[in-house]
Amino acid sequence: MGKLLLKLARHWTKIIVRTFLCLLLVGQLAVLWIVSHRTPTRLPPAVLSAVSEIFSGQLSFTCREATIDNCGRIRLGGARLVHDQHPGDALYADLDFIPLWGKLLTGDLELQTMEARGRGTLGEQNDISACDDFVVRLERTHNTIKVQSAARVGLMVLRADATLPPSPLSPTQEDPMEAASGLPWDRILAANCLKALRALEGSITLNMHGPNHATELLGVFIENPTSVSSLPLTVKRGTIQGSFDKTLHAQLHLQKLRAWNATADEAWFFLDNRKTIRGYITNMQADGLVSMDAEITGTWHDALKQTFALHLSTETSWVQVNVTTDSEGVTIGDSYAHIAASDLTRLNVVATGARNIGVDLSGPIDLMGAEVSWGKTAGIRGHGSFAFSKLGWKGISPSRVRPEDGFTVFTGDFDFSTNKNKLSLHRLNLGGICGEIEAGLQIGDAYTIRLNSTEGCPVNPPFLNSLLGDWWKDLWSRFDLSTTGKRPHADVLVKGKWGAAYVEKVCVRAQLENFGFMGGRFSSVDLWVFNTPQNTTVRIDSVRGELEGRDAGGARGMIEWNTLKPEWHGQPRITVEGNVQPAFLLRLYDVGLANQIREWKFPKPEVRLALEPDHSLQMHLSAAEPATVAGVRIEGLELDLAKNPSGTEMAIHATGGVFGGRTTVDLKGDMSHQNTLSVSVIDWSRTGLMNLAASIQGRAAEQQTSKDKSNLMASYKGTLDLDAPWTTEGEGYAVLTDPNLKTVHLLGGLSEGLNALGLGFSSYPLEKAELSLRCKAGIGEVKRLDLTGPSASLKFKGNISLRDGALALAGQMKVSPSPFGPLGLLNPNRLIASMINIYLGGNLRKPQVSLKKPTK
Amino acid sequence: MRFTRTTLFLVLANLACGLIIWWTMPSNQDTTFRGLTFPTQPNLIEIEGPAGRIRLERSNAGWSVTQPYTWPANPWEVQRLLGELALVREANARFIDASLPAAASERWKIQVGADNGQSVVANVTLHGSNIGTRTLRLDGGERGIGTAGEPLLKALSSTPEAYRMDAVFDIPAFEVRAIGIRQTDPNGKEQRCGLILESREKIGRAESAAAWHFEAPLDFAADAELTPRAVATLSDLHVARFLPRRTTAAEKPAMRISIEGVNRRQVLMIWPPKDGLCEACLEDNPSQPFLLEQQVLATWADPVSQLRSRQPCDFDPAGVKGITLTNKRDGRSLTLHRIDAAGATGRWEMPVLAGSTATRRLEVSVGRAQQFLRLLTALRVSDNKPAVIATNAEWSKVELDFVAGKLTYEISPDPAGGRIFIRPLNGEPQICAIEQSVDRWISVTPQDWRTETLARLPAGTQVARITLVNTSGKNIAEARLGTDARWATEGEINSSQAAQLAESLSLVQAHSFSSSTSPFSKEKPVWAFSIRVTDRSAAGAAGASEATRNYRVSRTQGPNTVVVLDETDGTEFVPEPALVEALAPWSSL
Repeated sequence: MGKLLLKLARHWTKIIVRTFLCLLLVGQLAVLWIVSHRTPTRLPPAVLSAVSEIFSGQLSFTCREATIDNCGRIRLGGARLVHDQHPGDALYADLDFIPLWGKLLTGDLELQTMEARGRGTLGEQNDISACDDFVVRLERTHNTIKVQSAARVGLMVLRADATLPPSPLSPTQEDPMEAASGLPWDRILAANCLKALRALEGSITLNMHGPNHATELLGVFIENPTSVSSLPLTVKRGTIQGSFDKTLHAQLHLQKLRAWNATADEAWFFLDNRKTIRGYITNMQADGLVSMDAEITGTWHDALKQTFALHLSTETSWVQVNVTTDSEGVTIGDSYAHIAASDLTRLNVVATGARNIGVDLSGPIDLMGAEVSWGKTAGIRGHGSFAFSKLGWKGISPSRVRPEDGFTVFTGDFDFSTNKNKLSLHRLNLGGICGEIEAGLQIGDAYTIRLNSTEGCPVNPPFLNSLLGDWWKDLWSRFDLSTTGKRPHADVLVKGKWGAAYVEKVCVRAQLENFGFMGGRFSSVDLWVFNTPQNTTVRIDSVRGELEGRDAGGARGMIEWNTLKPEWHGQPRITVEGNVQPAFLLRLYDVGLANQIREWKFPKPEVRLALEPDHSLQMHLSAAEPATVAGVRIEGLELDLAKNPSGTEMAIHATGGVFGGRTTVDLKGDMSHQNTLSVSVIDWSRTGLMNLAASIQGRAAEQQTSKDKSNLMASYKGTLDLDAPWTTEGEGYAVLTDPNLKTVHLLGGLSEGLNALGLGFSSYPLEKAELSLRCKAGIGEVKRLDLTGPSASLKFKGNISLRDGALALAGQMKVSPSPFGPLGLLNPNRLIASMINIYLGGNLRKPQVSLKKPTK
Repeated sequence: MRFTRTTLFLVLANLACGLIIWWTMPSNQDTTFRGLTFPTQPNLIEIEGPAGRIRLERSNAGWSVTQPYTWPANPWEVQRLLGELALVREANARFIDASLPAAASERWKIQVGADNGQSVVANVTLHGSNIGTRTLRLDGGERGIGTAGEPLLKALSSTPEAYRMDAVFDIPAFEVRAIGIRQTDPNGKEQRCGLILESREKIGRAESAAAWHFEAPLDFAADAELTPRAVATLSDLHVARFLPRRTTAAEKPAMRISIEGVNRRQVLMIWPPKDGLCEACLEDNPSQPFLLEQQVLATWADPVSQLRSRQPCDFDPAGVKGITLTNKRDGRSLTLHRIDAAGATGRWEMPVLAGSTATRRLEVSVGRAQQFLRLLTALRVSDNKPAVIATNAEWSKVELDFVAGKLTYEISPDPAGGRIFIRPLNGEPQICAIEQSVDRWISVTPQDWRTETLARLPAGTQVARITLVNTSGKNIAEARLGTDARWATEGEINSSQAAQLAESLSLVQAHSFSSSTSPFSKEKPVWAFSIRVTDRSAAGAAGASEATRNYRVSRTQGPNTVVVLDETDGTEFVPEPALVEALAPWSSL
């Protein structure tokens, strides 16, 4: 058994040894065959498949041929590495490498040397040459691997030389393809980088060596004179320098930059250990803006997130912003700026835009704490504060608000969002005018403007002219603030739509002091103005007028313009009510008329005045205290005054108590030549009548005594020429009852003596007078003047000259029969009286009674 | 073991094959790459060509030309040459053989040496072709041959003068740590000025990043923006024109500028300008003078005024713990305290009245406080000339408290407007261009700092009931929020009005507190009605709860003006327009 086993062992050992020797011999013969050939030997396709496997994933590897030469160098000729998704992105190369054959026999692919040389393309359809020529050489020495690479892109040569530890070359320890597949392939960025490189001529070299991977970067380049770059950025010359040896420092210096329409003399960028990038750009010029410097300090966190602070400055302006970019968008925050409008206007876009929206750019503008963010979902949002002292919009400017102040500042906060389509300007302080503006961002969007004056800072109304429109100008032009210069305090609400010709709604409450309006002077007014495109209403809550320096009373009322009523012809309807002097109110309407009644006194009048757009006027006046009209004291005066639209006719209806009597006057007409007059008096006393006459004549009135029990009722109706009142034509009637009217002493002095002795048989008291009068052609025809008493009467007829009051009356006395029977008929007085004709002559002021007919 | 003949044959055959392989294997295994390759880290390049011999050597300071003159080498030319040498291709012998022969004047010899003693020498000849292209043939002898194109031809054709570097200093800007200036004034007195880049502890700054400071003549901060730019420009100083080498000693220079980097220092000596150009030379190479443009040195002729810090208030706003403002007119002061952790979104409080020590405090508008601090740090000196200020100028004071230390500034507005004067306490005033009135910010009136938000319902809480009561105590209107989120109303209110009012009352913000900001400040509010608001919080662990607020509302004083009295604390304010509009139906009755 043992021998059998031993024999079997020998047999198998022999087979194995022979097989090994046979295989070794075959291998050696193959090597010998390869070595003996001067031309490379083609490797079987299986080798190519194995190589292709390495790149499988995002990349496709193809190779024209694989050969091995007599030095043991493997060549992959005509190799092509293509990005699966972008077939135009390809590397064409010839790859030579010598593997460590010993390692290879153990299954590890490690390279002794490697050289790749070729070119690269980037493009979808027409391959764009990305890299005209590149070479990568790796060489393993004892403990290091030397890497030498160079690539030419246009006239730019990029070199990287490194001495590395051997590990990176071992595909088993680190799979570079796997690492590469994890990197995002940003073709646009790559294409732009290539474009940028093609626009340059020069070289960039990176050297890495030493145990700490100390790195030096040095690049020098100028603008490629043959390049027609499609990139918006060009550089005349530049250098890049960097070093890493425990600490990282790098700098990029560019000269004569051009980006779009902007240029700069120099740009410096520094990168330090903390990934902080600091840059300076000097003497930038952009779209007319000159001598601008920029400083950028930031951190490059990763491909998506960067934060940096940007500081821009010119000789007169500076802007400081913090910018953060991340996957959500871009945020410009914590921004502060002091921008001279002169710099802004150099930018054509800004200048044109400002002109289009009516912004007058001048002076500096301060922005504080401004933050603007742009997000994919949130749109553009921003907020912050601003201040300026010269800039204006639609005439709203500091110089308009405070024209007398050399330095007025507008301040406020702003807040806008494109997603919400909302612009908000709040905490506005426009030189003391506070307010807010809420609006949309598009033409046609609604806006609301709220402005109010503050203590010590009233409104200068013209600054609202452009905002509110012509109606405001027209309205405000009626207010005269020039004499005292006191501006109104106001609270203003404006609603409208951007771009609309008219505002939709305006509501203003204003308080004015010492101003003129429609010819009148007012000490104060509190008014509300409501405006729509169709209607403007001024509600006067309280107004106090001034007439010749004195308080003319207060009133409230309404002024209304209505374009929906064409018959108004753009004229206002004015209604006023209050205890204001009528002469003051009428002054707003007709100065002449006001002057006519200027001397009339109404201590506590209650006036209602309505002035219609057609210029018709209605006024009602009631005086709680006695008024004085034309020197006549009138108690309880109620006056209605109406004037027709053309102003040619006026109607006055007045009632009042004049010296104890009630008087009603109706006067209607042109208040000149053609008027109708209707006067009625009730319960006048004789004393009152005398006093009236005295008042008219300018004499002092006397007190009415208790003995005066007279009563006068009268009426007159007729036409009246106020310029020639004696020409009146009409009829009148009057009745005077007075127990003490007059006593006729038939026997003259004798009768008076007898009367004193108690023998009054010859005296006849008269207690009632009745007058019937017709006036015509300056003559008052006394149709009847009857003076009657209990036992006698006097009846007159005749004329009274209305021009001079001359009397020409003749009458006769009648004595009534005695009531004591037939004896009364025998009264001799009846006979005497029937024999006497009485004549009244003289004039009204001084009547003369005679028994003879007066001679003319 | 007994070897069979077969085995022996196989062994002998293998041995024979092995010997033959050994014998026939090419011995040039040291040639690792095909064609000619040059060292990756050369320290010597020597070119012999029609323009003469150019020798370039590399030291720690970089490449220098050592033949035909001694001067730092222009990195542009050196790098171009090295780049093109790296791209030398494996020669295509057939192509070169077929090309036109080289002319005698178009031959170069190039030698590239490396630190390890490796040296590659190549004879370069120019060949043309029938189609007009030109090719360089590099013959490295045993190292093989290579080809290159026009770019290398351009590099080889450069004249020796093209290799002369026109940059004055070798020290890159990021390496510069200090700058010294010595110059003689018209009186013959020597003036010294020194700038140094270093980290310093600073009040108001938690981080102490390296920054430029003046060391001489006085110790003060240099401008954080202008100084690095000026230093970079200085380090990148370029020669306008080289002058013939000096053979005699020069006069004493008018100015010496020294730049210190890491372990190296260079000194530039400058003589007075003529026609806008200054003669200058480096201290370590005085025999090679050159001309510099006077304009680029202007900043360094008066560095103190040019580079002094233009940021008068340099602190981190997030680190401020307290702000004390003192009024310039009456000396009243107001102190704002941060009452929670530092940061951009802290809460602040202040007394009810300026100078009051009462325990009651008002909450400060965080945005306003932060904006004020940011504004201070954003101030930039617009004019570095000495400020001329009226002797009777009134100075408001701003004191900022930090964890460690306090900063105090005095500020006075220019009556002419457009700028302010600011100075550290008892320091030298500086001028800052600024549009806004300082009085707006340095106000000691608490109302100007108070937070506008008077009531904000927290999440989960909503207005559940609104009752409007007239002055005689009679209910005008009442609205209740039902479980279906609809408003049930009674009296003079409808459901949409109730919803609008509830929304406005869920966030009550004041438009203004002070009657001085009202257009009709002389009018006393005529109270029109009162609102009783019941807020209901959502049912949670503690169950639903209700709280009430009471406001008294005046009659409308203007289209935007209604006075509201918070009866809880007696605060009288004009609310924001949204609430004014919501109250309008009742306030304008």
